[in-house]
Amino acid sequence: MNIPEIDKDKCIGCEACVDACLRDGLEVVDNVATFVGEDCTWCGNCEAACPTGAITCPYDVIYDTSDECGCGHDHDHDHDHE
Amino acid sequence: MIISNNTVDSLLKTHFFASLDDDSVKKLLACFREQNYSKGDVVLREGEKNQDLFFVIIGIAKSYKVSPDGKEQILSLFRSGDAFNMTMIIDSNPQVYTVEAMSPLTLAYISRSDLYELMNQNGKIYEAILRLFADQIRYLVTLVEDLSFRSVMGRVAKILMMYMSDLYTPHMRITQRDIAAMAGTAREVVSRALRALEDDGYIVIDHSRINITDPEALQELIDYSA
Repeated sequence: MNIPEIDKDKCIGCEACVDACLRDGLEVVDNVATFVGEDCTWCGNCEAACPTGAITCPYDVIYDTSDECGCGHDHDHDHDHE
Repeated sequence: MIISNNTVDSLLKTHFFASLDDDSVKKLLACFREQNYSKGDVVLREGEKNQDLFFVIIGIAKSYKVSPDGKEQILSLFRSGDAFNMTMIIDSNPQVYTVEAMSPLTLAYISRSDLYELMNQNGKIYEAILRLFADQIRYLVTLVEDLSFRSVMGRVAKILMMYMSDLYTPHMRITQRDIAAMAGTAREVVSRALRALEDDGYIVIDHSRINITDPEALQELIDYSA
């Protein structure tokens, strides 16, 4: 699982990201934001809340022709594409 | 020669050097230096004076301006082979934008005085510099056109296509904040545009991955968004 990228040099330990995270996945440890959760939905709320740009949720932009349905998962699965 | 063989090879592949004769190339290369930067390092700062012409050898840098309320507008992304800080050739006024490394970055640079001396010896170097200016003017006019006439959805789509292409190597990841800074809009607006593009079937967002499912359709959207 990818987790948000945290630039320790930029982080000021303000806890804005801690408050913004919907999954309670962030804590400030030793004055630096730290991911402590079990999963991340990549909602970007932490990135939006961070006043210094220290925490980011970057995307890979790809064109994956092997990914027939574009869902990003293996195709031996069963899920709802709506 | 103070620059590495890899840097020489990279410089020789640029349009700037490709148009020059062997003697000019040799003299120019002898004047170049190189420097490495870490991601986030500021190469040039708005308001300061720097008298060097830079070429990107490895990595990506961005030029940007910041509004009084802290909003960032990215003007250009410079990747391998691109030059920046051409205005220093014309005058010694302060920088009009800041340049920052978006990844580990290697730059080659030549001083204004060395460049002037060589330009005075060889008109071909003048022409090569003018071509750099022409490329930059063309790019900035396109940027103004995009910001003035293209819809936000079209701008976001264009940025996604740019990142998907092979132009950007090494592969760069992009944040909604980056997209907003390039598209000249707010991050929340980018978030809505991405959702709209997904709802319309152009892309699929899967956690930290944006898969452009139909590049041709997305290109059509870009073409008709102006």
